[in-house]
Amino acid sequence: MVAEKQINKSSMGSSPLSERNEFLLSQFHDGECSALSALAARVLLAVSKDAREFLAELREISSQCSQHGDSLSAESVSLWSRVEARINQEEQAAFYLGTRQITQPKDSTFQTWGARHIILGGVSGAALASLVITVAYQPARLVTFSAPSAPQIAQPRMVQPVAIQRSSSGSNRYRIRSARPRTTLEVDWMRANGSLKLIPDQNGSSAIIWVRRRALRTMARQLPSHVGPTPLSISTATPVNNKKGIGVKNKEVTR
Amino acid sequence: MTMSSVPFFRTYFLLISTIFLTIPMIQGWAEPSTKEKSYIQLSVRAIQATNPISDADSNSTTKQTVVLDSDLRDLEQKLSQLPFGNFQLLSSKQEVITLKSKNSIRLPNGQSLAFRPMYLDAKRVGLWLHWRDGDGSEILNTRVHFDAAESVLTGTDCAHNEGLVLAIKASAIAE
Repeated sequence: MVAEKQINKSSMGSSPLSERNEFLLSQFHDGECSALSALAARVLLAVSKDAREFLAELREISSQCSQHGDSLSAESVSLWSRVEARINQEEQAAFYLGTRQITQPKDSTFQTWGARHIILGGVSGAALASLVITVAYQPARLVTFSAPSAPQIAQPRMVQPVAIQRSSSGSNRYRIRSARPRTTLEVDWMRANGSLKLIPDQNGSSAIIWVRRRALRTMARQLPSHVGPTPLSISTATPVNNKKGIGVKNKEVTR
Repeated sequence: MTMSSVPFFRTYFLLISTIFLTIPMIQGWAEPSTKEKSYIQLSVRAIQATNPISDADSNSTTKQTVVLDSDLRDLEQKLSQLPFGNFQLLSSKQEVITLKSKNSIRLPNGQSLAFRPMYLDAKRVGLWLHWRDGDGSEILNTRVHFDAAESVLTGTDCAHNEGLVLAIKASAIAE
């Protein structure tokens, strides 16, 4: 029981101290004011008698409270029983519900979750993109085409004997030399109105792409042929009346 | 409020994939080791092939005479492989075109040839060809790669057992 002794303001008469000054003096007594406030409190104490009396009352009350506090400590209620009861309660809860775990304070949900998915998405996208680029941008390959109606078709790219020569540097590299010249004609794809026939040249390095059309329409317009000197300028040949005329024979090639 | 993981994962995946896929598209699909030319000169010669040679004649021991124009002298080795005895130059056209641009020329018999050069360097040229008949029907649609110094030949049958051969050659033009 704390002795209550209120500062009877009436016993001191009308106190001119404002609530602000009383609060300042209370802080000054408790040592909880700043240097500027302490200076203001000292000035107030030096100037005002009421302030000094108020401060004296505060000190008296404080001393009485401290005396009573010592007496209370001897008569204080023992809390150990409460603490022990709480410990037992926690142990029982841990038995049924599991041990209480202290969780670390989580970072921003967006930061951890977003960083993980950014990395995962970036790696997956890069892997997929590299795979697509590798597949899509392969160098052009020769498409071997065989027409079933032409039994004498020779493929422009045939299996050629090769010679394997070890590198002169003595390393494990080998140089492959083909016995025949490389193919000069490569075809990515072909589509035609008819069967396709690849006629190789004498070297076998290139081929003529020949289209054997299915339905050879009766051409209303015959192929024009010219009679006379072969034109060398850039122009289209003028059709002549002789549709089956043969041009100037300037060279004969014996097959 | 918890955010579902699926929309965000999909967003990041699409973003990264788009970045990696657009880079090669911007660079173009030409081979990286080639030195491309901006302009090329394409030469197309239309050759009429007549006097067909039958299989019996070709297998016979007697020599077959092949007649061709003087302008086709550089193609004699290739034309001699065709089963025709006569070759005449119908027309010769030369076009200066830019790389990767689509162009078309008219052939003497009403046919048309559309082409698009994909690349051209000192050694190789890539060319897309689309050969159409006079009525617009497709004769040949192909994409070929051949040596820049060579001519690529293609042909088709025509009426009266004749044939039409196209000799296409591409060469670079110094800028």
